[in-house]
Amino acid sequence: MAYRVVGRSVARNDVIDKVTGRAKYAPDVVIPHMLHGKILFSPYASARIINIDTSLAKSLLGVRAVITGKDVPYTYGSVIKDRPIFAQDVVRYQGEPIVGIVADSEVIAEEALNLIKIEYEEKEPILDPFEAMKADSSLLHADLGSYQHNKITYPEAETNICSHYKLRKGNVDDAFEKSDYIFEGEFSSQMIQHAFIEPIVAVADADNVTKRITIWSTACNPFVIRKELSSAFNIPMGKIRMIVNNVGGSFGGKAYSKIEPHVAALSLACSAPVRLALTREEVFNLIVRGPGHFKIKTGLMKDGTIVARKIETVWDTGAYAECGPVIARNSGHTAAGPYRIPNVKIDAYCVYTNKNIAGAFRGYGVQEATWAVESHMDDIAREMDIDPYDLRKKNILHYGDEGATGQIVEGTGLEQCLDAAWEAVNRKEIKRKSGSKLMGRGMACVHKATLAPSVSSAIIKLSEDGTATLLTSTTEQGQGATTVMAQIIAEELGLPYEEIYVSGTDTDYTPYDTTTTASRSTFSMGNAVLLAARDIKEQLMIIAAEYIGVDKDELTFEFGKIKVSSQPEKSYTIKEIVSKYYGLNGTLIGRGLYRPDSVPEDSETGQSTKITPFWMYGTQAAEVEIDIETGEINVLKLVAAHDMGSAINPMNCRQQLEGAALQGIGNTLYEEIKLNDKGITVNPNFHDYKIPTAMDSVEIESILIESQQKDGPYGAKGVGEPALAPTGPAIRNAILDALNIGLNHLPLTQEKILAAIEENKEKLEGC
Amino acid sequence: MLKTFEYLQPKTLEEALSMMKSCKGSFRLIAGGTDVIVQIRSGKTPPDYLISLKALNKELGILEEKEEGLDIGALVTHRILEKSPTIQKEYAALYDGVSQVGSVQVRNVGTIGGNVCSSLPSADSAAPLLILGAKLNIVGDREESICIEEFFTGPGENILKNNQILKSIFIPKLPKNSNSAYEKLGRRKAMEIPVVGAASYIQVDKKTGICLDARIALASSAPTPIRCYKAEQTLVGQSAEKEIFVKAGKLAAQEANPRTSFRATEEYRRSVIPVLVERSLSRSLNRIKK
Repeated sequence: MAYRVVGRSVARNDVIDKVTGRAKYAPDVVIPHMLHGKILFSPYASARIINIDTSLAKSLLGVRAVITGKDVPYTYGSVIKDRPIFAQDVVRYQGEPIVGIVADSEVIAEEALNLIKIEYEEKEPILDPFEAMKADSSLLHADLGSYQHNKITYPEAETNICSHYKLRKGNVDDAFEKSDYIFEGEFSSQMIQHAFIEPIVAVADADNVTKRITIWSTACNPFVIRKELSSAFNIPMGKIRMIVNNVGGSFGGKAYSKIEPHVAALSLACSAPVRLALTREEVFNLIVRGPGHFKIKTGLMKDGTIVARKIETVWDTGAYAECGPVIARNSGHTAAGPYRIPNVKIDAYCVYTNKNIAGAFRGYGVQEATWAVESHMDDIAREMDIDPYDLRKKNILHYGDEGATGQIVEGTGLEQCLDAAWEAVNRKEIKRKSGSKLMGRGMACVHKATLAPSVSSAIIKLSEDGTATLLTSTTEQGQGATTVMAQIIAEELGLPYEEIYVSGTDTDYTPYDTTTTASRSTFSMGNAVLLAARDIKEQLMIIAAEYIGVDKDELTFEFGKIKVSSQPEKSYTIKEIVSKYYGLNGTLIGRGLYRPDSVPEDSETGQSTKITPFWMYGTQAAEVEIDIETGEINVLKLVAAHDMGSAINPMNCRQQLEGAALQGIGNTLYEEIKLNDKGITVNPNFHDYKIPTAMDSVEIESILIESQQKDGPYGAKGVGEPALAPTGPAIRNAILDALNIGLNHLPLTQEKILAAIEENKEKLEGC
Repeated sequence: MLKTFEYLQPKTLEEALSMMKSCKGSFRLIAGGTDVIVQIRSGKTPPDYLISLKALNKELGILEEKEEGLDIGALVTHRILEKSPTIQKEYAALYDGVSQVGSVQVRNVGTIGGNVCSSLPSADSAAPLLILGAKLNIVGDREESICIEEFFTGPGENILKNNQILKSIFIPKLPKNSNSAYEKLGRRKAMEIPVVGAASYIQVDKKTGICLDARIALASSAPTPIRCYKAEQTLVGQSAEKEIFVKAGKLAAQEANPRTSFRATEEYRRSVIPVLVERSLSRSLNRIKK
């Protein structure tokens, strides 16, 4: 069926505001009589607080409030409720909030910070997750066993393991015994930062008598944060209003509470509006992607059929759980790779250490798991002397196969992605050697689940002039959600795309949505919006029947026009019907509520017939050249072929793929947050923490595979996250192809590459 | 947030010098500010006064070609140098260096004088200036000219006294059949300081191909930018070709004293110095042949 708006690369509906600089973000919020907050963060990674003396700071002119953990003895955290707002005697990471200050200006607040005297007893930090897992390790959270936690978190009391996720399918031990070949590998991924453009900011306006709190923030799941605040401060949800305008990038880093509890506490302390804006350096401690460690063992038959895979992963989540347990679990859905494997065993341990807080990063552990499993796949292919493409092709998940989680594969896009990406990168012959440079090609596949269970709701208001406004709590973080939602309404109701307006999020007025993460918005909110549009259509038919004076069954709706079967020459526009029905004023209200199907997992085996409403699939291929004298690596080309069900806005989809692919280059080659042996971050800025510049961008070919998701809006599903994951292993496997050297530990710096070349001189002989 | 400081704006060089004398408390001179602002923000060097040299462009901002060489005012930006056809043609190593500082935006404000006076081991202009025989014109109680080799004393340190300003840099015209190059190895392609930088200058006898003169300098390879005299000596009198360049590279690595930092290890720097020196020399030679 041909669509008129869906499937077209219409210009984004936020483009003019963003190009002219009119678009409003949380840092732009200014309220009359607004005060400014500042937080004193711990300089140590592990310490006991002996004494806090705030008397001098309190006496400074212009200081309005000084609060410590004693003033707000509350904890928060929706995965595990383990986190104090301000430290309660114990410091668990460098950057832990200790004291909050409100002052007339940021300068005064900063001056006041310098007047606070804190006596610490510094302790040796636990920085190695494997040490932290040992039975005799000291505990970061002695009370772990009594903390509240969600249903998909499995804490082990009296240890530093805040969750142990298990997946059991078939019997790996028997299968390994019957295997012709067994291969093992160890891989790791490093600590990185999201590097969103806009640092974390929040403004709170709270009243200490009525306990009414309004917060403008950079959050990407304001309803989750509202719930966390309600639970922490013991204030009913209805009294808490979260407003999110545009967000300057999140990549998962702005999910869950960041500084919202702190700014709320500061505002409550002085019953005045308070703005709290973190510096870039502060953001580096507050939220990172934590390091991951992977051990994989795979059993195969002589013909290359994979029969068993066993994986042990350790997730270094830092001082507080944040969403680490969910990352450990969700990575488990992916970790075995997008392959048909009858016997799988996965153990994922999420471990506390005295490090920066780890949270979601564009894929909830999928990037890290893909790094390990897809690197391992190429090592197997090399050892068995099979083409890596053939090994994947032989084992890849097809329609009707059962995946590792027990869910039957419904889509068919994966194989198309594999073929398209490999064809694109092999179109031209490459010169394998030129001077000191060697060239190679590699590939990697990815599959990723989305979040479940979750809820999306939408309201469409159709005005008397026939224009529509969508109330939605999907936050616009640059991903183009407002455009896609407007396209869906325009298509369904036959209205001009330009006349659909999309709201920002305001929990007082816009209806519930679980979160803008997990690549779920186009699918989940898209479906809610579609239902709301159909609700409008249904109401239109009723009032049109009344207005025209015919039976409703005689009416048909055709792209914005209502036709009567007995009057084929006539048609009525929406505007005509609505304005005639209401007279001068009035709006139709359409409601949509979407709760995708899912089945909870078994806590011992991780098995479920539907762990996720849909799976995303993709394959990426890379062509690289390596200077074997310096270890420098140049990515010559990246291909990203991804199955998006259908592309509601193809340009937008390409931008998602290209953006993620390039971000992946940074994550693979340049980026790493470095801590010293005391657990202190040494490179918390963009001079020393290197993300790719425009000059480091490479040729990226994006290929959109459209397999039509059967329950997706117009066949669409998610596309935001998966393209990040395969970039790393595709580059790594291209290096393997060029040098015959496998690098297993991220990032792949030129220094590491050169050291590997010098260690493996003999392997290079044949290249 | 920036620490508070007093911002002074002298209108002439003379006024600047007298302000420096009369300042009560610590001060720093600021030109483009691409180093100073970053350092102040990170809290390492909060001075009481910042003395801006921005209004001294007439005295310190002139790029002048003379019979005997090139006079570069300390306030000349990297971008102006990068765009100068004379520098592109005749002082190629300097072009290589200044055109790789930061990004276009940084090069539009950052000055060569600032780059030299910050005296970081990683300064991209320093190694090229060392091999081009640059002389620094310093004013204070009196005006003096010194060889750039005498200038750097440690990381972020130089011989400038509290009452002295670098006024200009003089580079002598290069003799016939000579040329220069600077090779920079960074981790990304822009907004980058060198992991190692290698500058070279050679002069050859056109008929015999014998190397008549050579200079080699390194960035990010010692506490200061350095000359590698032994490596230079090994080249003189030899046929200028890859074999001897490789040898010079190895000697340069021995003369270097690199350190391990979170950017790179000492071992890595040592193993790439010979490569960069050889590549730099080869490029200098190729430029002569052209």
